Formats: sequence, structure tokens, C-alpha cells
Amino acid sequence: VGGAVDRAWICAARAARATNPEEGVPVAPEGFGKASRVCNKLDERSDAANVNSSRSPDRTCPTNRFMNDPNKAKTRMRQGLLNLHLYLGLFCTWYLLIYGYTSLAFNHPWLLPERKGPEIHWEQSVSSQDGASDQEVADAIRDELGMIGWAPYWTLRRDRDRHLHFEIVHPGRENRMEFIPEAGLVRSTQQSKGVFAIIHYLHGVTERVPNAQFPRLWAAYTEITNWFVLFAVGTGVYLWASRARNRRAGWILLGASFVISAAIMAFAFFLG
Amino acid sequence: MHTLVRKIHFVTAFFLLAFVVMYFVTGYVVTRETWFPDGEKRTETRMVSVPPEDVPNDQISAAALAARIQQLAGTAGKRFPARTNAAGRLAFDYLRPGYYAAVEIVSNDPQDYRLEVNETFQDWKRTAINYHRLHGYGGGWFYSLWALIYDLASLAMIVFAVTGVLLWYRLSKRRLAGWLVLAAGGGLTVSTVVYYLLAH
Repeated sequence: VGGAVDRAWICAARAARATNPEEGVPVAPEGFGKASRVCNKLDERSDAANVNSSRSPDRTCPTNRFMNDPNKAKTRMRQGLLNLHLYLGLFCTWYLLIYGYTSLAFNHPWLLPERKGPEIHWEQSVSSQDGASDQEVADAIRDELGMIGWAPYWTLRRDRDRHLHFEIVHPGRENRMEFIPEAGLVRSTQQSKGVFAIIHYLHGVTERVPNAQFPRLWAAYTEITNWFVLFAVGTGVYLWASRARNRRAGWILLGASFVISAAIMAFAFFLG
Repeated sequence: MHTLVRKIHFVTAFFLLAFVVMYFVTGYVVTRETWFPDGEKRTETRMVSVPPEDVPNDQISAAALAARIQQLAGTAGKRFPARTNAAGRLAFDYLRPGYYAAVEIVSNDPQDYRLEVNETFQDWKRTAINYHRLHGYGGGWFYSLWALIYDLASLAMIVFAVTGVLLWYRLSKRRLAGWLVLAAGGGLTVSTVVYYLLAH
């Protein structure tokens, strides 16, 4: 008798999923192990089927005769959103990992230890920079030497020999420069900031590093990820809500967490 | 295993949804700060005279002194370590989203103990930026709680990414497109790091 009920339940579950995929799979009753396992498999397959939706349906399966269901448009939308959610998510995975890790490091700086490289000294001749301001001289030397980075104004100073000292910095390296005008020479002490400094810098950055073209792609990545996360929140809730199981409990959890979070943020603003 | 990963993905999202959204919305204001107009901020300065019996004694710790000064000045916000300002006076900073106060001990004579309180009520843009940048344990129980939620939201980013990849791997039978998309993001990340490591 148990086997018969098991088989009946499996048939009912298959039919239910085929007739209305949005409603998920009925939960098998307690004590029917095989039916329960099959129902769980069917539930997972409903997601897998959505991801591989472009595959032509298996015509040998008797349940596919229900595919002309009025809910088909809704199912297609769900499939499309699931694919976007998944593939955009895969693209943004690395950004989210860096974003999460660097955010943690703001609270726990030991996660991004300083690993500076050895100092490297070099010198190179440059053309004369008469008549320009110190900032213009520093920028012109950077451009002439094909370097990337900023020459911050607060690092500019002239020594008693009128040599111009300044720094050229970018996320991965700092260069302490000395310009000797009479010799048309630049001396530099260069030091790598290490990989952790670069990872730290990549947190939410959209600014442009002077003379650096390639990192603009990272700015675009930042932009895409920012919008993706907001999109993923919406689609994630929709995809979850379109499944039947534990919907009420989920809405309660979601609502409660939202209210508590909003209350904490309001507390910070009004009473913190 | 699939069910467990999916549950972790959902439960993490459900618990931290509002904070994750807040961090990305305010993060957009931070990264595109110049795109958003400045609002109006208001600054107020006042003097507070402290009665001799309320003057904090010299023996208390730096954190306790910051808390005591905050109480005497009647300011709010997360407490930061004391600093010596340009005038050589001891000063304390207090910050919360939408509000910043700098309190300076103008006179530390116990008979004439005075504080100068400069309060700034910030515009919406600075408020959003402060929501985004508020971090670090300490400075009051509420801000330690905030730091804990901040840590959880940061961990949630990592959990979303990892469980998302696992879910895709489990759900998808044809994975070439997924691997390519994953590799595109990974390639961009690695090449950006290498670019900065090698750039002159």
C-alpha cells in the first residue's frame, strides 16, 4: 500500500509541476521517503529547466503536453529574469568578492596588510620646463616619462638648490621624484605598494587615474555591479516569491528584517 | 547540498537585504558624488560652561573623557579619539549620518571650564555618504552594533557571490556560457590588479 501511495504522490507532483510550473512542487507527506526525494528532485529540476530553457522540450515526456499553458508568458519572463540574475551575477562575482572583502577590511585593517616592495632608484633626462608652475612642471614630467598617477599639490616643494621635489602616486606604486632643472634630469625612488593596496583601491572606484586608459574598464565594472545588485535584489525577491513553498514565512522574515533594518538606520539618523 | 546552498543564499539575502540595498544606493552617491547636487547644510556654534562639580577629572581614560565631553556638550553621534587641533587645544569629534559635531575644550580651568561646540546639520548628500562610511567598532554601543551589521553585510556580499556560483553550477547543465562570463569578470579583475602592479 505504501508503494502505491508513493507512486500516486509522485504522479501527482509531476502533473502539478507540469500544469503550473510557477506553483512549485507539492510537498510529500511525512513517511513517504521516496516520494519526498522525488519531489525535491523535481523542485530542483524546475530551476534547472529554467536555466536551460533554450533546449527543446523533451517530446517523449507526457507532461510536456501541458506546455501550452496560459502561464507560459509568465514562465518565460521568469526564465529570462533567472538567466539575467545568474549570468550578470556570475560576471559581477569578482567585484562582489572584492567589495565584500575590502568592506570587511575597513572594520578590520589587518585583512589588508601593507606589503611594500623594495625601493628602486632610477634617473632620466627630461626636457626643460621653464616658466611653468611647479604643478605644471610635475604634470609635464609625468606625461613626458609616460607615467600614470597623480602629482598631489601637497607633495610639491623646492629645496634650497631650487630642485623640485614631488610625488607621483597611483594605486600600485609611489614615486618620489626630484627634478634638477639645470641638468634637465629627474631622479626617482620608486616603491610598489603591494597587491593589497591595489585591492583596497578597487573598492567602489570610478575616478580616473591620469594617463591610465585600461582602468576605465574597472570604473564600468563598478557601475555595472552597482546596478546589478539593485536589479538582483528585485529579481531575487521575484524569483523566490514565484515559488510556492514557505512563501508566507519568507515574507514575514523579509518584512521583519526590513523593518528592523529601517529602524536601525532611522535610529542612527535621529537618535544616534 | 543544493537545498542548503539555496537556503543560505536566500536567508542571507532576506536578513540583510535592506542594508545591502542601503550600501549600494549610498555607494552610488559616493562614487558619483559630483553628479548629485549639494543640499543646504546648517552650522551652529555655542559655548557651554561646565560647573566645577561636573568637570571631568584627569584620571579617566580617553574613551571615558570623550563620552563625558559628549554628555556635557549635549551632542550626539559616534565618538572618535581626541585630537589636538591647530590652536593646540584638545578637541573631540562626534558623527552620525546627517550630523557632525566638533567640541573643543576652550578653557580647562576647573573654575572656568568651557567648551566650544560646533555642530553641522548636513545635507542629504553628506548624510548618504556618512551612512555609507560609518564603520569601526567603539564610540558607543549603537555604533558597535552598526559595525557588527556592517561586517555581516560585507560577509553577505561574499556569501552571495560564492553561493550564487554554486547555484549556477548546480542548476545549469550547459556551463560554457557561464564559465565564459565568470572568466570575463575574473580576467578583468586580475588584469586590473596586474596593470597597477606593473604600471610605471
